[in-house]
Amino acid sequence: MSSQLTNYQCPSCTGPLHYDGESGMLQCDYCGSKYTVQEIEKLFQDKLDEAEQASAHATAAAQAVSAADAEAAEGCGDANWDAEQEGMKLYNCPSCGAQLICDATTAATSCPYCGNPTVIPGQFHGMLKPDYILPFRVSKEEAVAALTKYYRGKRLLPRTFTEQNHIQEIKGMYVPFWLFDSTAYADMEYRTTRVTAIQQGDEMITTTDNFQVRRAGTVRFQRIPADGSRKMPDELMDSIEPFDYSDLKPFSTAYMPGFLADIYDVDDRESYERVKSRGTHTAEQLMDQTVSGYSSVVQVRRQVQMKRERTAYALLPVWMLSTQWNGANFIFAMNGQSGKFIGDLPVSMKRYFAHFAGIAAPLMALMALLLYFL
Amino acid sequence: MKRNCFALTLLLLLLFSLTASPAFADGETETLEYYVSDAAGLLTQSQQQNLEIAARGVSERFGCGIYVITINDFREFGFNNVDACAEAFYNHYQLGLGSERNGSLLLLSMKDRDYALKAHGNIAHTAFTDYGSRRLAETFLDNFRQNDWYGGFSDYIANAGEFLGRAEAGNPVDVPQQGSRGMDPLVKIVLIVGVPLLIAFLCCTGMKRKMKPVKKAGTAEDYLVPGGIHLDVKQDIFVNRSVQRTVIPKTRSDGGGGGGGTTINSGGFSGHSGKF
Repeated sequence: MSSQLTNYQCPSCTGPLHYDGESGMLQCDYCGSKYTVQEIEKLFQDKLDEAEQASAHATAAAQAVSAADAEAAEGCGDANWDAEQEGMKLYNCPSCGAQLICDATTAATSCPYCGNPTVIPGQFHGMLKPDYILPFRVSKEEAVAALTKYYRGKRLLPRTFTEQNHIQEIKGMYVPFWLFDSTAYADMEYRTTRVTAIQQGDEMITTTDNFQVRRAGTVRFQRIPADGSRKMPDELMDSIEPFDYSDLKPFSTAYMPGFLADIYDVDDRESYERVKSRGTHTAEQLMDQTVSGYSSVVQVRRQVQMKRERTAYALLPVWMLSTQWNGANFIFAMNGQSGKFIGDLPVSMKRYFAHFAGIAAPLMALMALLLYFL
Repeated sequence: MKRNCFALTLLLLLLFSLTASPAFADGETETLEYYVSDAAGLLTQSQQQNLEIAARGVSERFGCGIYVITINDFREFGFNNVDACAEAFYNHYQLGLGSERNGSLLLLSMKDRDYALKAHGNIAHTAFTDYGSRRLAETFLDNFRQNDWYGGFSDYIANAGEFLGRAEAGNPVDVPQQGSRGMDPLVKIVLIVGVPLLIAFLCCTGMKRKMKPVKKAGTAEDYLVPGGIHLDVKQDIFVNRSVQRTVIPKTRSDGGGGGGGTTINSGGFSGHSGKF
């Protein structure tokens, strides 16, 4: 029986291959041989097709078993444990034969027993196949170094945080993103005034001209991203933007070895709500900026409609790092393409008040001195 | 001898009262040998002598005559106001010391309880600024209101000496500078405590914000299509106009306002007048 998983193995030594962001090629962990994405795609096309077919069979079989189990459970009043019913999937590693239990959304992982990078091509068939993939450019070592650099200059960071905390986990992930092309149709109305004041003799003459202002137009957006994964905190994914889409490649699993990948579990309709709000705000701001040369501007009517035009599904590269300190988890994300690093840090209140006093006390002394001499 | 001199002074003043306007018009001048001339009869002889000694001492010490003249009514001399009368007296009797005729004259007109305090010459203008002149008046007006003439004149002479001394030291009595000394204590506390606390709070809030940079994106300006903004309607319609006229409040120029220094009139006098 053919496997649903594909291990990208070195054609020379059968060692595991991983995608190297710096060279943009697949490299063998053992012999160091390098291959282009196209070469590997060509070599592994048959395997990928087989894995996809196996996946389709497995899905059909699972559905049949599931129906039978449901009947049996009804009869005995007890449900059997079933990985797939719990939102998990079972796979066999094609290298060592070990059983892998993965999330239903997992599309690329590595075997915990033999360490071989594994891709599940069946996860990418039909509607689930991404249009694009943005390959990693930043390496794991760079991501680790970025975390240390990120701590620098953070004056309120507890000293013990940098000393005691250790990276619990670091993983390079292809996160599913929806990219929306949209147009905002805005129609805004304002009440504005232009005030001029001139002095004539002993009098100040203030003239106020009142205007009714209207602005209407369109604002076009291209590829506003919204992550399609419930596992990923939205604010963290928003914070590592922007991605440079000029590097987008047509989707291929050959970019995945060595990284994890998920398929989307938040559909495009749900994700678009966030994008709609962003586009609406931007259109409003842009319209507001066109109302200039007035002393005061008050918005009296606004109507912005976002029209969704084209949606693309892409996997974008993200390094996720997690650390633990004082029993709390701290998650950091790094844009796998630009290297933009972000994450919330703990605040030491002791340091906060020390800085507060350190700023306030000398200023008080300085002010007292100034007032004494003035 | 002194008694005779005082009598002569009074006589001169009386004569002046009878012939003031013609004498003034002709530009005639006389000399007054005394610093204190009490034509209104407010002082005893010994008081007058004491004041004379004190005034002479101050005048000679600073080269600026400190004069006191009392009269019954300035109108008797043909003047409409006490200021003009005081300036006329000063000029007619050639008051003042030195080539600039530095001096300060306090004239009391008893009928309507008017007074004029006039200064002439650079030394006097420097010492008796507009603000200083009023401060000096405060030192004797309280006595005059209680008919304490000797006390009032004594205060005038003593304080005039003090004012001249401060002017000589380069620190004339003038409008307090807009520094911290005249500042409300509450404002001082706010400046010394409140402002540093606010600055420290703002700095620390900025540092704290730096620790929590993760937030949802609210806008999408990074994803605007180049040239993708089209304005189809751009209307700016004039609705109406309203005009408001406000009278600009005049700034005070009587020396009690914000500005310091001395206002000198065309006759070369500074000072002020009032009632006691």
